[in-house]
Amino acid sequence: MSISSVEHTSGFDSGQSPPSGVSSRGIFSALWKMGKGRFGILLLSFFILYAIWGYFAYKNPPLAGHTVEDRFVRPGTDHILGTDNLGRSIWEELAVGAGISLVVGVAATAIAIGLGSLIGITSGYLGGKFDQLSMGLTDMFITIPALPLIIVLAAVLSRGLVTITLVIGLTSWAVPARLIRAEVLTQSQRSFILRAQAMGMTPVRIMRVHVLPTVAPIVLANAILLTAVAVLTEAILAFLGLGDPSLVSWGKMLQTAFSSGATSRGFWWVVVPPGVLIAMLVLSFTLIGNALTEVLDPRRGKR
Amino acid sequence: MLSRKESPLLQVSGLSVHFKPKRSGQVIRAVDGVDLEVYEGETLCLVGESGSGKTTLVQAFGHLVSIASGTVSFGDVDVAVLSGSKLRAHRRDVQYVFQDPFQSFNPRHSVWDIVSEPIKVHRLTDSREELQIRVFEALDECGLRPADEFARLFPHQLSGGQRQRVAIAAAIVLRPQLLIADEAVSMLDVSVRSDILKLFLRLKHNHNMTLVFVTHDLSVAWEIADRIFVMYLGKIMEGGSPSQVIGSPANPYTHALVSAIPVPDPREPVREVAVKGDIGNVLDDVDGCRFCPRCPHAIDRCATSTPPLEVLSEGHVNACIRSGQLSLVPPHQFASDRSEI
Amino acid sequence: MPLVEINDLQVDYVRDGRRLRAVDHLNLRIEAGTMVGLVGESGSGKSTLALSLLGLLPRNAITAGGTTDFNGIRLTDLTESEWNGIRGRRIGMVFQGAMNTLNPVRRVVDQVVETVLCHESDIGKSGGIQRATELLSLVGIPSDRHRSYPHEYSGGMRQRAGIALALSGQPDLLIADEPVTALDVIVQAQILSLLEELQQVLGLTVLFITHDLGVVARSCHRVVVMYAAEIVEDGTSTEVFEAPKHPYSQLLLQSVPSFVRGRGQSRGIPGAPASLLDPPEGCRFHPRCPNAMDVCSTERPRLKRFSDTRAAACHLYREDGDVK
Repeated sequence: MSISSVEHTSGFDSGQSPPSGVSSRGIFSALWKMGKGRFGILLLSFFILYAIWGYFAYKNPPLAGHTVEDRFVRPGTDHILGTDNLGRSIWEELAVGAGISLVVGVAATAIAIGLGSLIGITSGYLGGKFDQLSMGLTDMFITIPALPLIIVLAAVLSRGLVTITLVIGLTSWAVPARLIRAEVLTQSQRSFILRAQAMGMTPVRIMRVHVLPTVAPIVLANAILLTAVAVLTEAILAFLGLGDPSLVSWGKMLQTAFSSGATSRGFWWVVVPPGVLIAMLVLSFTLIGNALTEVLDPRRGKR
Repeated sequence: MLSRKESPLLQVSGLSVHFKPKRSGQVIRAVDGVDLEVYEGETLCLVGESGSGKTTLVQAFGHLVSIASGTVSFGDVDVAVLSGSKLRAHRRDVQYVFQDPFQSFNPRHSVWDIVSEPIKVHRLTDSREELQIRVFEALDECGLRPADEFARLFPHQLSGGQRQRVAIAAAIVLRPQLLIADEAVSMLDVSVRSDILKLFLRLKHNHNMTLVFVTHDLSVAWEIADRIFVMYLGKIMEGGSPSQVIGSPANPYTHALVSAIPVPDPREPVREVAVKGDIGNVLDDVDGCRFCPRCPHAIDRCATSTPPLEVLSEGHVNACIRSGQLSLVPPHQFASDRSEI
Repeated sequence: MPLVEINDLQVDYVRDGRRLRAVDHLNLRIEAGTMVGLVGESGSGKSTLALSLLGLLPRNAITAGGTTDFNGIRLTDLTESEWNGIRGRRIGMVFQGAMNTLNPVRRVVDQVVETVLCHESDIGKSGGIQRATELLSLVGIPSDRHRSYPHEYSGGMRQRAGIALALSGQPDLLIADEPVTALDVIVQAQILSLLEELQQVLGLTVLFITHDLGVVARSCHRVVVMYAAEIVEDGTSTEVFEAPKHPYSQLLLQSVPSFVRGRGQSRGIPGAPASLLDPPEGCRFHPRCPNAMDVCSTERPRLKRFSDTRAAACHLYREDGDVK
């Protein structure tokens, strides 16, 4: 038996296909090849760069020192996107708010996925009473309507970015937990888990070395889609005035637009830009998440 | 029951393994009151169709399933009561090779990761050099040469036969006393099986291991077994040497099984397999012989009394109350000179 | 005229710009009313051949050349809509795990009725039920089980139902790709008996594709051996099993444990199956062949026909079948 007899038996006639997208490089290039994947990646990259620039270029909130004449100035040479009711430059506010949306979105998702993974993996792998208890708890959280709960909590607790992030994160872990648990149950049937047990591995090591890496791709895809929701939720909270009052965010810009009467007075430059950017940021996450789900689907590439 | 004088490596007594599926609530008696001895250095084949309980039985040897009743004694230790670190230590002595070479490995692990993992898990060595020696030795012994090149590969780059060799290497790297192969060649091409079977036997000989081989394919048992035990719906129906069990089966089930095997010789007459229906339902709580509903030789008493495993002749045991009355025609003409391995 | 005539067929798979030839200049004739066993291991191309006969090649496969004629119809020229009258109707198919092709939420008899009516819409619902009942009884399913659901059937019964579905269009040709491989050995024997019986009673022509030599020896009149996308040997069952000509066939037979031969006598075939992506020069089997000569590494042997029934693709033999 020599090395020359090793061949790629994957694909074509042999009926078995290699695990798709096993390496991260493989996943990225697969995503890049897809239209929506590429577009989503480009869009998200733009927003990240935009947020970084905005953080260094301007302070949040943008500096005061506006005069009455600066109110509701139309887009033009002085202010690229005009100004709002307080004379603040829309362009500056957008740049600054990008950071808020991204940071809250990603951090809240990280909390939700982290908690969801912990519960999903241990529940799915260990089973038994622990599984029953934690799934009962999970189901409780799933059935509670998320948005009203989030609104109530945000209203009751102190206003702040940290609060918002925690509130969103701690109410969104239940659905990922369920999904991850389902994936763990599927993967646990595969005999390499049985082999690991037969070898005498401790459950913790099995979960860490075998289960976690195997479910990681699916978790990632769901995390990205969840981020889209988190970004939107943050915007909603800010719109409802439940965000951090001292910081400017896109949602807050929409609230300002609404409460200052810009909407009814036809000052479109106050209303449209934040809404559009929120939608596009959510879109970028959604596109990547969907593309990733397709890439990881084991049925891809077969008849 | 057996004629051996030495004490067995593994002794199974009254073993029962039950599964309780959540929905129906009825108990599945996957293994139902099995007595069995495995002697050091032998190759024992457990033969049965799906639902026979053979896989569950061998999984009980390593306590991979919970044991409902009975004992599994490995040396003087009862495996059923082991837990925690003692159980993990026991697992070093009992290693498995599973059926599916495609599912047996974490796709993200390289051959090196797979074969070195058992050593790392049991912390058998601290030195990196020794770890490498052991892993490469195992790969080399299993025919994966050059070892250092194979170690870098991933499972999906290997053929089915090569993957199974990796599984075997990972199993023997711990130098277990008992090696259990569960349908280890069933998913491989026919031309590859023979080499893998020979590998098992060679490794067994070189490392003084005992081999338990689970298979549904009697031809495989014919090739390598010192003793064969036939299972049906959780019970042992017959046991003995290959020439006894396959050459002159005494149990109607074994006889049907042997008759049904298609022989690669068009001149062989096709034997009528006079068995009714399909394999029974493991959920049914049957008093009496499990094979009774399908048996062409069943009498009334078969349905009410469970036949014990009786000795027919030296090493040949059979569970059938009509044992002495039936004269079953041996299904195959054998070559008069048979070579033993 | 043979029922099926395949001439110089070539089927390629295309992926990432690379081509893999899964069926390479294949010639095969199947006479009506016979059961032909096509033997090959994984990677031999036998499943691709089956799919090509049904017009079910995947999107990344193309028929690069050659023709397939079935009863005077040129299958290789058919459009997808033209296939609808052939597939399932004139050519039936049974696959491994046909048991899993049953719809779990419909009663078995209803599914057979639906298939029957699909092929013969003019006999009406009651005609369909009658035909379905006949079919299910023909394959050995007792009438009190016709109205059960698939999950209430055992594996063997489900495979029988799969066969009934395959026969519902009253096909002339039945293609069975590993129909008994997933079954327990006793049930396997029962299903093989059923197939043999059906073949005789209905005058079916059956192409039985499998890797199991024992199954072929038992049921098939004729054996065709495939290796690396080509046919390497062809003959009656007796001819091929008693005196295989091609070294691959010889080695294959030796690799199977045989009760007659005695224990420990089987030998594997050295090396690995030829890669279809980069097949060896000359004869594809030559790297593994114990009888390889110089010419084998440079010149590909044609399938030489020695008699009406016998053929082999090997440089060892002269035109009359004797060893050089």
